[in-house]
Amino acid sequence: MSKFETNENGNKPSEGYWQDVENKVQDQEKTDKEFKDDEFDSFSVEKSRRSFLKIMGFSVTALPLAGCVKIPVRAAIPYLYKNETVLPGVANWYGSTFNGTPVLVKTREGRPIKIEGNAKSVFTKGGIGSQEQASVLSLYDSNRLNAPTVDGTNVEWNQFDEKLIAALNSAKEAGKEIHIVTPSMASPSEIALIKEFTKAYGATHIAYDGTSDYSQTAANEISFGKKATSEYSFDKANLIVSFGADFLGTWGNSSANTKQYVAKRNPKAEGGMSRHIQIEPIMSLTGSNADFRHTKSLKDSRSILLGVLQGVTGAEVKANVANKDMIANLVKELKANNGKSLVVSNDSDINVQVIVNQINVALGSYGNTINVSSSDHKVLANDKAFEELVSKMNTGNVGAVLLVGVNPAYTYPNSDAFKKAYAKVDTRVTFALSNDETSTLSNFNATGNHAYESWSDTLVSSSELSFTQPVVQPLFGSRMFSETLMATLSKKGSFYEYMKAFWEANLFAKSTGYLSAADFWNMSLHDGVVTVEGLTSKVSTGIISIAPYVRNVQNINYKSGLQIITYQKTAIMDGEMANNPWLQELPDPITKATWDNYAMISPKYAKDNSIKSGDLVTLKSESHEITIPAIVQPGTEMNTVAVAVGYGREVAGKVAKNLGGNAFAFNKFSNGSIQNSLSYGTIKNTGTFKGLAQSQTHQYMEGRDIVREASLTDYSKDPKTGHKKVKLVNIYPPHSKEGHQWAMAIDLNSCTGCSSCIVSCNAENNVAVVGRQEVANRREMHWLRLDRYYKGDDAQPEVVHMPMLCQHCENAPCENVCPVLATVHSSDGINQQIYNRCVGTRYCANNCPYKVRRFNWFNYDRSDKMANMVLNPDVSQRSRGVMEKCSLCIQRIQEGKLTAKRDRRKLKDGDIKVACQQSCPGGAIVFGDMNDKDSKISEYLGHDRNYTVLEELNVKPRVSYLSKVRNK
Amino acid sequence: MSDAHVSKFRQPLVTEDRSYKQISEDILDTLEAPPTKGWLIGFSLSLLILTIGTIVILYQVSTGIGTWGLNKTVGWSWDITNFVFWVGIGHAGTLISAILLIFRQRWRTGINRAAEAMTIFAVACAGLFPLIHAGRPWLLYWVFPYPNTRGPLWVNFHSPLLWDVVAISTYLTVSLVFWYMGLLPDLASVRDRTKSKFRKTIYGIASFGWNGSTRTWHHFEVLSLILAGLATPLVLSVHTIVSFDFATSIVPGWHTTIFPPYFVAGAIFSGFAMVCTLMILTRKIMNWENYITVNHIDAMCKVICLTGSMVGLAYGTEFFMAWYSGNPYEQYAFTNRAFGPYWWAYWSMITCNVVSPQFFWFKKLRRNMAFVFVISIFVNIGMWFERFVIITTSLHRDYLPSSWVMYSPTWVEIWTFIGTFGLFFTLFFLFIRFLPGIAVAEVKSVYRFARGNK
Repeated sequence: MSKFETNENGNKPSEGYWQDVENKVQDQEKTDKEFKDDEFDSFSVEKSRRSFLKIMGFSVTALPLAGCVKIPVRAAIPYLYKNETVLPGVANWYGSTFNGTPVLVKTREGRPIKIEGNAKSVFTKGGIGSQEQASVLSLYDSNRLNAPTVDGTNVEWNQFDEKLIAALNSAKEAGKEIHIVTPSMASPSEIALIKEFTKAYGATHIAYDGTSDYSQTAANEISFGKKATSEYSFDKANLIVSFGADFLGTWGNSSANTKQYVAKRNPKAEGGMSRHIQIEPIMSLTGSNADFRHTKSLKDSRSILLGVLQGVTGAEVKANVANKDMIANLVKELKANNGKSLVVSNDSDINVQVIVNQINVALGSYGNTINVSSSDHKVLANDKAFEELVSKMNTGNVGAVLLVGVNPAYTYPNSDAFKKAYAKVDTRVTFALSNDETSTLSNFNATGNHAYESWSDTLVSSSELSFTQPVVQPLFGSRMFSETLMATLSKKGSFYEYMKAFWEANLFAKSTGYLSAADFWNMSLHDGVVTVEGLTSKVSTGIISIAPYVRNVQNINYKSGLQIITYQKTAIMDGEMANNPWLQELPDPITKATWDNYAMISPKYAKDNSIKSGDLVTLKSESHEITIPAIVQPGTEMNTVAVAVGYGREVAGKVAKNLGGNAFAFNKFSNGSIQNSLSYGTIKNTGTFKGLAQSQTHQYMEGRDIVREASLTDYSKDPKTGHKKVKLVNIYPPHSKEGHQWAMAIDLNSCTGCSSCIVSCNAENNVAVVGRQEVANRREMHWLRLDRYYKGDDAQPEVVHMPMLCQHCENAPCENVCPVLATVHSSDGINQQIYNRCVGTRYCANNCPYKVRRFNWFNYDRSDKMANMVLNPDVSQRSRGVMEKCSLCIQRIQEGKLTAKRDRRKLKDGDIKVACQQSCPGGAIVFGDMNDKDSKISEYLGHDRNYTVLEELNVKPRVSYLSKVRNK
Repeated sequence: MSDAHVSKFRQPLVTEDRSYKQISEDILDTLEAPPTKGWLIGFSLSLLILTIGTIVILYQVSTGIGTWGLNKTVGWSWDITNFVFWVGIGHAGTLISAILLIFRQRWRTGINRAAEAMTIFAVACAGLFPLIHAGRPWLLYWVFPYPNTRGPLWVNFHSPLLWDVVAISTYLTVSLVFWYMGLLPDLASVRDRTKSKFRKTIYGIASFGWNGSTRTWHHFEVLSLILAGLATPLVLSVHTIVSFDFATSIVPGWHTTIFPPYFVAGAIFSGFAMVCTLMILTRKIMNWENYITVNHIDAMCKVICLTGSMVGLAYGTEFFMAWYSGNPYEQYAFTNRAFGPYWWAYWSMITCNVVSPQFFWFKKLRRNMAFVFVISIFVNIGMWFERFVIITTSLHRDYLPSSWVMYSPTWVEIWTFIGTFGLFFTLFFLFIRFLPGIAVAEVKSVYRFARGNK
């Protein structure tokens, strides 16, 4: 409206409301003149009550308005075309594979945030381990390289390919050898592609594992004539005798093994509860679960094995007088369980594995508890072949080496020899995701993709294929190694196309039940796994002439001094994932130590040599020494010292760098395989105390009723053995039990202590990593922990694992004492922690008898924006000063309820799985609605082994346990 | 004026013959004089320590409770030990002011002003700890049940921490009022005697226009009695409620019904010891030996002996009940205290608390100022260790052995505690400098006690 028009009041604009700025200024001047002498101008106290009220009114309104801080607008970009598959707030799941284990990757808004097992897998039935759970964080490792490099400088991929092809061709033309080294592979399409590569360049494909099972592969070849892999069925074995094989932790596919093993660890199992005997020099996770565990030196273990061989097959061996009774008992039990027993060993000596095979053949295990098969779609690690490669490289005759997913400069026992030989190769190609010890020595690094950015397929068992599919575009400037290979072959298209074509050409024919190749591909990809017969061929087994191998074993030379045995920790394994903070902070199931490796010695040795846990010692063999803390570990053989590999990495991200000592150099290649027990040495106390960052330092139950246990014999007579009757008096009225009432039960016979649940919980609930010093200060943030107690003799202890988490007590001591009501009880039985309300007085944590509450002592570092991508958007971040604890995955409970509501159906048992429950390969954790009489939890609550910890305190926990029964 | 007659049976409460004027001069003249060198040194030192303490506390509040040595098992240690320590000390002043008034113990007048001041300062120091021990202290106002739009969301009336809030704030308020009200006649004296116009104005405002009329005095006496009546139950209830912080929990070693009387006795024990420490120093430095006489110290030592013995009896009872109960957790808690990794704290506590007050059975020792001073320090050290033993040793090894840890304080915690001494002594030095350190009016009112009326 212009200033010459009249407005609706009939006033000229300049007389009323101002229409534009000029008017305003004019009007203002006018009003200034008008009101000049009025009350507005002066603020003297003497003025009238009216002016006072005016001023008050103005101030009271103006101040809050002035105080209102405008929240700055962040750029919000709406979808123009909404992505069809991404629905904000709803997760998408994709089938993939990691470490040969089928997984499901949960993505939110296009970001992978959680890994679960693929329950459709016949092989693992949904179980996964701690490395699989942590793998999603490795995806967001900001240490990853951003581009391929040639001679240390970043280049574009096309430049890289050009240079690499040129280098490979020059090597070929010069008549020099070209080798491609991969870890053990079971990927049909990748193996096919590598075959094309080796054909095109006249190269050879060698498989090398830093921690290989070659002794078993080679033994199979000797026993059965073929390079074959054995596949175990622990669920068919009534008797398992393991000579050091940590099959529940680091030997074979531990998730699948656990699933099978646990099926028979039930007193009410079909065919009766299995019996597990472990004979080993060092305490392993598997050994801690055995019914009978014998601490025996490696020499004695081998001798006992020979004794068993004699008893079972009649072979001639040197008598072992000391262990005569044990051998006799073993032989008796094994014979009684003919066809239903399993003897396994992790021995790195080929001859010992041949003996094991022979025993299994004689006991009729093959075809029942073991199936041995060979496959063109598998390439197995060959220590001998790699050893030969190193000597070839040393001659200078090798023109090019492609190292895919292997890090020999770190893992090879004689690292210096490897480095020397490697330097003599003109074209040294690695495919590392981040700089490692080997890639820094290479002139080409074809920066590789993480598994979740890649296409692949894996033969996880003899008949099950599992997909690996990308769930996110490569986050860094990397590329699948298979596509790099395709580039060297000048193949057009992506590996996706290659793989799909391979499937349609080669695998569809062997499948059953699919109408077309496209159908086969789509449905399998959807499921993530598919069963295809005919990819492996059975290998026939039989008795062989065993005498030479017996001689070899008997002639093994044992030196004096401490025998140094290297082993793998369940979280760190060979050290490839050492830069993963979730894994570093995961307390080792046995030692409960984090962020370090250590020299593991027996209590007697420690006492005799005045060494205590945490003392910095130098472990020295004739060729290698490292300085690491010592740990006094019950169950370690007197003259043995064990040290874990995977530490002491010199080139790694900031998480892994300079953590612990490199133990790979204590391995030795001898008699055809890389062996982990051939070094002997001394331990010298440096006099400095370093300490260990352990989550638990007290190992005994002090006679308290925490883990209830009974022998099978006693349990069979009276199921209530070990349980006690407690009379409880209630003064409070009980909570209402209407609607859903969540409860959890944990079967102590099914829990092996693998700790996969802990990583799962950390991933699901955005639990902070606190670092070594804070763990040493006893402030780790894990909501769920595994308490590990020893019973009996320190030299030969019995071990129990008990998962401990918030018990969600109906009579919670924590709820009573919080002054601000930050912890209250929900109507469905959950003890809630309301982060926003918590002021951090910590009385609740003091009053919790289970000590499951965790306080945020600092604002933990979340500055790594890349790593923050893994955070679960459904769970709030806690600030410093706030208490947190297990919430029974309330976000999952909500999601389950809302999904059922949306689908207009009742919630059924199994709809909601809490993170720890879903991850447990043993299925030890059961969660559900106890008001549902048909649910599994109701069955567990009524079980004769069910009890609650610290029952006499009358806190009425909703989390109960099934007592442990050992087959004794 | 000299009074020839002195009672055969009772001791005079002012040991020399002084006129009322002289009494005023003795006590109030120091307020007029420039600060002595001793005062300056003492005050500067206290202020320095207070400054360091403040910086350390600011660092802790801005960085996190992680700067302390606490962990997932031991959620409270030095913070709450210090809190209970200071609150306990405060109880002596209230007992002297209130309970001894109701019991008509006239000898209280020599020490009640300083003792009550000590209470206020001790409660101020104590009150610091609940504030800074919280993870998010800037939100601590949520413990107050104020009307709000969040439901309304009230606080947890079941929680002992909330009872603490009520108890401590009531205690602070009542103590402050009682102390200040008692100060009024003396402030009026200062106002009337001072030559400086500035001081006249300040003390004039401070004394609320006290005019010394009979009516005013009458009101004063009535009010004293009422406040004494209010404050008396507080002596028992406040520390009872503090003890409930522990007694109502389920922690073995905390969950015991002996705590209320045990804590109250302990509080009086440590409070009187602190009063002795302060008064022995003050009487010497300020030349108030005639007002804070050996008899006063003697009487206080008797209280120390009594309450110390009660505390000793409580220790014995606890141990006996732990054994008699058959409760393995309780039994372990006590065995661990005496023979576990913190045995040195336990035995310090026993030596300082059970052994040292027994010396006060002997009159000669009660009347030996140097000896009493040393013992009073030991008593306070012992009482600090008692709270440390109760809190830390019970927490560090409770029900599930997997959570058993060791605890040790960091320099932040240590300096925070030392800083509270800085606060306490800064306030006390200020008090001595600017306020009458002895209740002049009350001393005058009992001056005639044991002397003939003339």
